[in-house]
Amino acid sequence: MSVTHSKAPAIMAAAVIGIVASIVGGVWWLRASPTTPAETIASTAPAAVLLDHDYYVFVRLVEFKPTKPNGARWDRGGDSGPDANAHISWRGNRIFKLPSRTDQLISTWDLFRVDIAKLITDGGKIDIESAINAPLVRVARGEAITIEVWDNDAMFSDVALNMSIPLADLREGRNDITPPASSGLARLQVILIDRQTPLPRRI
Amino acid sequence: MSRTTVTWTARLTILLAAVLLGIGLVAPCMRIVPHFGAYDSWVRLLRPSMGRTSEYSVLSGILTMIEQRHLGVGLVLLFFSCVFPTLKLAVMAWGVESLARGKRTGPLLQMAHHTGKFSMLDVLVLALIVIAIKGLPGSTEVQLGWGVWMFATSVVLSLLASILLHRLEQTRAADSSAIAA
Repeated sequence: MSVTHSKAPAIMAAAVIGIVASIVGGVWWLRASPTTPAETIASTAPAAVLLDHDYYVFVRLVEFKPTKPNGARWDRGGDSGPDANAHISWRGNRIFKLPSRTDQLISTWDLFRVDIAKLITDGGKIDIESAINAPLVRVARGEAITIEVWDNDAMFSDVALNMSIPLADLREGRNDITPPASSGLARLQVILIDRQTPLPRRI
Repeated sequence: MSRTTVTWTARLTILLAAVLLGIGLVAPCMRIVPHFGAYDSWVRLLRPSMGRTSEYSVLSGILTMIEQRHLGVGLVLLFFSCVFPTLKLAVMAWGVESLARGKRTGPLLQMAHHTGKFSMLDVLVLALIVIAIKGLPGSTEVQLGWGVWMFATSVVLSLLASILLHRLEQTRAADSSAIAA
């Protein structure tokens, strides 16, 4: 009894250290990578779009499914991949068409596109704003953009996606959009860029 | 308040402080949301990794610092934020149990009293980091996580435990004087 009595302070002190150590150790053990700070890797935390603000809507990437939604090949009578074409519509107007990509399941576009022939005919000068491969839209409550993607065949064109996206749902920066399961697309990536970014200075 | 009540209050306070300290060390305490001012969209476009939100606990922040070869500062912070508060609570627990059994507390507890003032150093360091990062250009935000509240509550409870311990010591000294008289 007297041994227990004399050991009580040490037991209590050890219990305190044990509590702290077991909580720290337990949480640390539960994490996949113990020495990595808990980064929210999935979240790029972009800013929400601002109402009455102009943004470039840049379609960065589209990925077609291996076959059409009905299971048929993209290329009639051949085995070529789809020829990606994309339109962006806003307020009932088709406001932008991206340049075609041929025989690709994954098609990407760069933010800047320079027409060399036009550049030469214009005397070697270019307005940077005109080289941006994206249309401008103004964000307003309840408004949406429509992105239409299709495979351009010589005879028939197959619409792979016709999707209306509310502007308020988009974020500044990269937006990874999952197309509907019934569409012919597996992936769609759209980037929103604030028009007020001082573009020429940045370039 | 009777001596028994003070003893039990001190015990519970120390145990609760230990639990909150453990949680406070590993819970998210700081979330850094980078912004790049007028260039925000461009940076997110060209270097998406720079736009990621980072979340740190006290411990993960210190370990990151050590990993990034700031060994000296990292070890000082590790000692004053993790090791020292734990040892201080352990010493106080020892003292409470000793006093509860009518024993003398010894020099260790005196040391804990003297070093108690350093327990606020970790809070000060956190505050300095927050101020430093808030001063960054481009509207980068630092949001405090719930881990800070756990950690701060633990510090407050350890101060309360220190007061209760002091009261127990005074009670014991009064008892000893009465017996001697």
